[in-house]
Amino acid sequence: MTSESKSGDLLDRLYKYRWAMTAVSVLSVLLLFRFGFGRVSDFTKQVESLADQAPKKSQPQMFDPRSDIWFDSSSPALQTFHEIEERFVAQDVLFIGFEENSDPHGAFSVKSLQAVDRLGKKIREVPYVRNVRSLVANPWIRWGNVDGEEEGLIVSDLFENDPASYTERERLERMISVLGAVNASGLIGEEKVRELLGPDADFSDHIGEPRLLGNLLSEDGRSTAIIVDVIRPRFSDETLDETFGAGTLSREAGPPIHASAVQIEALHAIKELVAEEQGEFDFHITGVPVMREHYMVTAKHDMKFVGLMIVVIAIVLLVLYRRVAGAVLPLITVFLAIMGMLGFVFLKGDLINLVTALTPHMLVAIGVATAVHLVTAYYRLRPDYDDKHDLVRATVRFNLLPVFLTSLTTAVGFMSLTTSVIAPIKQFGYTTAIGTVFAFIISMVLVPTFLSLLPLSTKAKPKAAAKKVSTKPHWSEWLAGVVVRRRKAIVAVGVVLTLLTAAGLYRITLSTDLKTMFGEGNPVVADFLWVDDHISGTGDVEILFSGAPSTDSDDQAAARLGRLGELVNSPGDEFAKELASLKLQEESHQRGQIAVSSEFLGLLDKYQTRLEVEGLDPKSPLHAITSIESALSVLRKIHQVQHENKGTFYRVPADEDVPLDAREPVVLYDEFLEENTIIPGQSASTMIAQYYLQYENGAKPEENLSTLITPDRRKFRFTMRVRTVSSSEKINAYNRMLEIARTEFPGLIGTPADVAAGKALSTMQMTGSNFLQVNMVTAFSETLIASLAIAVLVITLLISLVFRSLIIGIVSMIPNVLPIVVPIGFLSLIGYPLDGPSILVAAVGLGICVDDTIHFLSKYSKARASTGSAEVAIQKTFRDIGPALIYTSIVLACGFAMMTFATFRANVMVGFLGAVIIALAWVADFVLTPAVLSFLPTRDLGKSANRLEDKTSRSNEDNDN
Amino acid sequence: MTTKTPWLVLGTLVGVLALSPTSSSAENTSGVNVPSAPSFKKSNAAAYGKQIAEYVDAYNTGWKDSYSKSTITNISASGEKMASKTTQLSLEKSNGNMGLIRYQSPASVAGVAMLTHENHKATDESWLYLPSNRRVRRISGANRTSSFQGTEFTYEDLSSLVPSRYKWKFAKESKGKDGAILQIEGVPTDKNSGYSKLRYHINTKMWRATKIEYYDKGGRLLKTLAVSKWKLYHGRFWRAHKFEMHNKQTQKRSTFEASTQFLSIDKYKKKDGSPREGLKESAFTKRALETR
Repeated sequence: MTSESKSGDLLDRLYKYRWAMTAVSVLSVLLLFRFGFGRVSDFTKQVESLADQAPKKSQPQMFDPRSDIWFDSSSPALQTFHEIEERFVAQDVLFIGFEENSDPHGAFSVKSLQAVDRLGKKIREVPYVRNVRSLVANPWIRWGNVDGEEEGLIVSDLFENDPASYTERERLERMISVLGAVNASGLIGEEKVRELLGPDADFSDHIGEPRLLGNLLSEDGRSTAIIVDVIRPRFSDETLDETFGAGTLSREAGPPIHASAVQIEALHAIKELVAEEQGEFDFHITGVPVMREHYMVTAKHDMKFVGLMIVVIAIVLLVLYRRVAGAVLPLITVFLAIMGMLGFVFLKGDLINLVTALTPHMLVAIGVATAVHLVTAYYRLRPDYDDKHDLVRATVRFNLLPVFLTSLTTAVGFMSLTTSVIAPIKQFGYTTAIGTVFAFIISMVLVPTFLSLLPLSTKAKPKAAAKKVSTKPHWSEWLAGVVVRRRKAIVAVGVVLTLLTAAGLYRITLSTDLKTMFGEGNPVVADFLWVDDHISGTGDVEILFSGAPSTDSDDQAAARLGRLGELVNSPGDEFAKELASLKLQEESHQRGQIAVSSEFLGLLDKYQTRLEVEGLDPKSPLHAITSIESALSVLRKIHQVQHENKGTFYRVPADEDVPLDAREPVVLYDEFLEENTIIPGQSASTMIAQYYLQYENGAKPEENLSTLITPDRRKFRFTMRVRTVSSSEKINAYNRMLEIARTEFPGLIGTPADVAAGKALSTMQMTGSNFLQVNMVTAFSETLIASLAIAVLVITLLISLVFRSLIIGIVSMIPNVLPIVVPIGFLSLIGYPLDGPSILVAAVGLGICVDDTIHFLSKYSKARASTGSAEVAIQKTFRDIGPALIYTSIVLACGFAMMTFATFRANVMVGFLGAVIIALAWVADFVLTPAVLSFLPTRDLGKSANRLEDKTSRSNEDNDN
Repeated sequence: MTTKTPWLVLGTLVGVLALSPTSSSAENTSGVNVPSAPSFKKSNAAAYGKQIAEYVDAYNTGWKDSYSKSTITNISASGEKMASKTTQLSLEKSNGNMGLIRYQSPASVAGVAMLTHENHKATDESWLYLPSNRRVRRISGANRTSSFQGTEFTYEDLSSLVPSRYKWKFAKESKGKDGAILQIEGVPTDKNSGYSKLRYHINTKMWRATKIEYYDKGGRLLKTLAVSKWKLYHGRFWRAHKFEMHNKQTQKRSTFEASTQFLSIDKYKKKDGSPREGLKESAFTKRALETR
């Protein structure tokens, strides 16, 4: 039996059982979709069960909001981010800012303070709000008269009672204590400040609260912010195992989804409270939850453009075919392929993320192209057939092999992305591969079945009549002639373009900028910029400093201290030796406790000052950093307060601050246990530890130091606020901070081995939501580019294999790669920064280009083998598949162009680049590739040509007709 | 009893590891009679709740003084622990108790001591001694919502149960291992309280709270206090060894665990067999704080 008869039998069987196969295919997709969504529904219930109260409206949880999926799980920044969540606190911050220009006391006017007080108290009652810090409620550390009796240290809110209950003097004294004498003079005049502080007051002793200035209060005293910590709820392992099952994907994704939901819920509640106050002041709300919500709202808003894209595709198909079937069949193919893909993803236990959200775009391209090829072939062949069975059979025969090859190549090529270490890229690989398989099966089963329902053309003519028509000159002859005649010029232009592109790619800038992300005049972005300009940046960046880990347990350390107490007064060499050994052990134990180490904190203090001083220069990358907060602020303030509030003591304690008589150890006798206890000799480090204790004794639990230093005092957190600048500017700032640490403060940035060996004081790791986000853009884009390069290589090898020609494989790179890299290279060349989504469109573009290329090459190689003439082969290829490729390109380019009307810049870019890539792919397939191919001798077109010829000989006959 | 008395509460609430073999006897050797239970008005949830709270308060007075040695442990959400060892002295006074807590470890805070004189009619007075500057400083005693030494406990949590500070309501009765557990809810009348509601689980065998749930201002469960390792002391006072406060929102925890305690000190003997004297007010002066 020949291959031809075998394929003939197959096609006959396909036709005979078309309804059964269609029913099985559609039913399988529907069942997959049903069970996939069933799992989503179960998962949604699991997530909702974590909430205190069932939500008013249940929303299917299909989207994965986790930030850690964007990183290689071994990323130190990600691991530190989790460490901070676990050891300190898992929360995000909201800023509610406003300004008071009408009152001479600015933000310290009664009206302003009362608004802050009212709003702060209401917000404190919103579920999941951990802490509210404002001008009214913040830890005010001072020296003063305690409860009307002796003087002492006081930690209390700045305004403990209704701000209206304070006299003007009390109010302005508080203003000076926060703003400092110099800034306060700017607001109320030096004369007034001197009246309050005394005529001889030294302004350098009244430096204000550096913790609050540039953080929740502007230096001019007119703008202020209420800072709200909204927690990301945490659950015990037992609860999570019980809710989601141990080791499941849901267990990983569920809690962050719940956290995101409760934060949005808290944000809505807070927005309502702010709205109640809005008339009096113009409030501006910013922070991570605001941006997270805005992304979601915008994504939802932009969903309508995906719908518009589908509608436009349908309209263009209708216009091109002027038949309903021409529009309906491609769309049904696309819908079922998407449903099958989604069902599979959900059933597997995965969720959709920002990358796999683009898979439907990809399937629109692949599904439409496949179906369009079938439908175009059908309508082209229809006039020549008077038997429906033969017509459908010929249509399938004409497309089966190229469509199979395009699907196989696309699926295998994209499956190669699953080797990526970044989960969304991995998922994008398999979702595209699965969707492509669905698109192939559905198009080859469902489309012919429905085509068989269509009536045969009443204008069907005998073959002889058709030949008359073909004597008319065809556009393909003209284009093929031009391409072959001008092939040198075309290839030269191609080479120049490639070189320019390469130069552009060399200059590629990966960056995102919130300012342009949502288009001009976006009110949410305007709020971010307002808070930036008036008070402080709102992005968060963290540095975690880690000292040497302890080798002793707390009990061992306590036992050693007890033994030291016993030995301290014991005479004899034997005891002296043990004493010396124990002292060494104690020293080693304490060395890693960097949060109470005067040496470490002194160095860190200098590092912070260095960063702050350089940050004042608008030309420095560090200008993007607006404030730095850590336990240092508390420490310096307490030290100042302990020394009659003198400004010179606003610093880290040093050994000389410890009284001489305190430096010797003291032995205490416990008359109840009847044993000695040693109180070690005091130092700057013990002073620091005791200051912390003193502070924590007065501060509210939500203000205690557990969010800034670990209980074992071996980890120290540095939190910074960063302005709303582009991601590349932020990265420059972060790199500058690291550079300064490496070159000027090496003791802070040792390796773990250096720290363990005592060669450095700490390790230093940068992290934080904002840090992760901006680095994600670069890391993700770089990984995606590398993954796509692998996919291109795999696809090239596959094409070489299929066509049994390395030359064909290499030539295929022209239409596959050039349409993608030309626009990206051009944008880079003109200095336009690209972000993750722009790079991602390249993946979609690759899917489209590969499809077109294989259709072109399969027809061309076959035609070239049979005719031996490049020009004739090109002409024949244009004639065979030209209409389908043109239709596909027009339809998809118009469809993608609709996305340029979206709000989200990334979607606009998807639309713009998508349309440009499709148009360039058309140019590559119709101009450049044929020009290059025309230079190749027939023998280089591969041994497959004859096989392809054999397999499709019948269709060739059809085509000739 | 009023506000800032952590060591008093530790002294009185922390479980007893009695050194005296007589201390765990069922016979009441304390000299303090058990108050007679009131006629409970079970039909009125508010009145019943208040009666229970008042009886719990009355049941636990008369212990005179105490000494205890405890370990305070802070545990982060990831399970990382940091322990401090302390000793506490407490003196029961009719107009407000006195207390002194001193740190023994870690080395960096060893010797830090805090003294408090409760005042039923005014704000408590507190002083802090830091060995690093050898000074006793007066500290503010007004803020009951302050954290106690950086733990998950606030001074409000460590205050004794003062029935008049809450609006009570009986919630439910359930069966415990040792008898009925009465659950009562208290809504703080003090607007400066850190909570919207507290739910006490009262064990009716001991008339002590074995569990307390704290709800934040938004009405969400914030923290749960689990009280365990109970022992009867002098046949009269039930005391727990262990208090574990679990912050349900941040998953951080703090525990107080007593290793040694004397309750009613004059009932104990020294190692040489001579009798111990009860604590006097002179042990609770600013001078007593210093370690020089």
